[in-house]
Amino acid sequence: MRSGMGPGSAALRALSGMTSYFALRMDTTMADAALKPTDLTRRSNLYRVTSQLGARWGEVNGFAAPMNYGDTAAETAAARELAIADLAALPRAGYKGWDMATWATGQGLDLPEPNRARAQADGTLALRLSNGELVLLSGDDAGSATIDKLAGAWTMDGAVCFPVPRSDTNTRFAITGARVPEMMAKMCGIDLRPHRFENHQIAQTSVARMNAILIRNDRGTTYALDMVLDSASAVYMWECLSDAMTEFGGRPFGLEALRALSA
Amino acid sequence: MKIMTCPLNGPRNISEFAYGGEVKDLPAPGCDDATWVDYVYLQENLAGVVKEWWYHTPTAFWFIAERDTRTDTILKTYAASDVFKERVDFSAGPRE
Repeated sequence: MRSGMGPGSAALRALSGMTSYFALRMDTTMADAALKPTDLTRRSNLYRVTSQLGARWGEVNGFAAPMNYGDTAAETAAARELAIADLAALPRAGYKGWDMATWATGQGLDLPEPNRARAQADGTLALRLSNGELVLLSGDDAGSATIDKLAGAWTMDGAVCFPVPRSDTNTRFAITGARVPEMMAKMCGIDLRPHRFENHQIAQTSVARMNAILIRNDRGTTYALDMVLDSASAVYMWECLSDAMTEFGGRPFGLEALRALSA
Repeated sequence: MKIMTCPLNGPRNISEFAYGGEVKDLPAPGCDDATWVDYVYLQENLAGVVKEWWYHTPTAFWFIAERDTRTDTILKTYAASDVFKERVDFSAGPRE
């Protein structure tokens, strides 16, 4: 039995969507051996695939998230070379409109120029896709105070931009390690080598013949890409990445190892 | 592969782009049907330097390219907002 948290309470919290950032963080420290992804109302599109790979689950924002695959130390070592993680559970949000920048800056965001990302004070990454389009990705912890704040601040009245739902229609992977540029060269036309693709640079491009957003988002000293893509194609893209990384000895890794890279 | 330079994203494989037709001046509201037919359906198809709409699919970004159709050379590309700076007013309403 999981400590003090039945499926009922998880469902209630997922429905309410109002649980505080700090309460969520406390739930996500470690994998819970007894938790199955089907215990929760929110799951990644990939959960059947990652279950087969031996994922151990934790609850993140009401999501079942793969915390590890049985050996966090080995996963952390692999993630410095080549590994992929499913980050569907981490919050995402988007805003688009002709004067998005004025509104977002007024909410306290520090915006970069188009096709660049900038980390905010709480670890949230602000991606500027164009002059008028913003995507927010939470840090590797469970929540994002920035995303919560903007969600609370936006109103229809006098709006100069509108929310773009990113949490359900999009999903997110991390692809980490020194071999990433070499592997990605097999499925993407952009030169992602570290001296050509700087940290926090964005490429909105075609990956394995599918549109995707790639953000270089190093964890500690480890080269890392975050990929934002259509959630309905998550299984396809995961399989493409898994196939491409086989020759380099890549493996899946969990959220615990991802956090360890930055520690 | 052929490379095109997107004004927002920089040089990309041509497979990331879609062609959107010739850039034409919008007819004045209330013009006759023949003018609208010309605008909507008919292409100039010039042999020479033409202005065309192009679309970068991964970003849903429309822009304008100047291309020499005799050599299929892309001469320059720029954002549509460089040309179209004002909102079109359709307040004239439909013709009777």
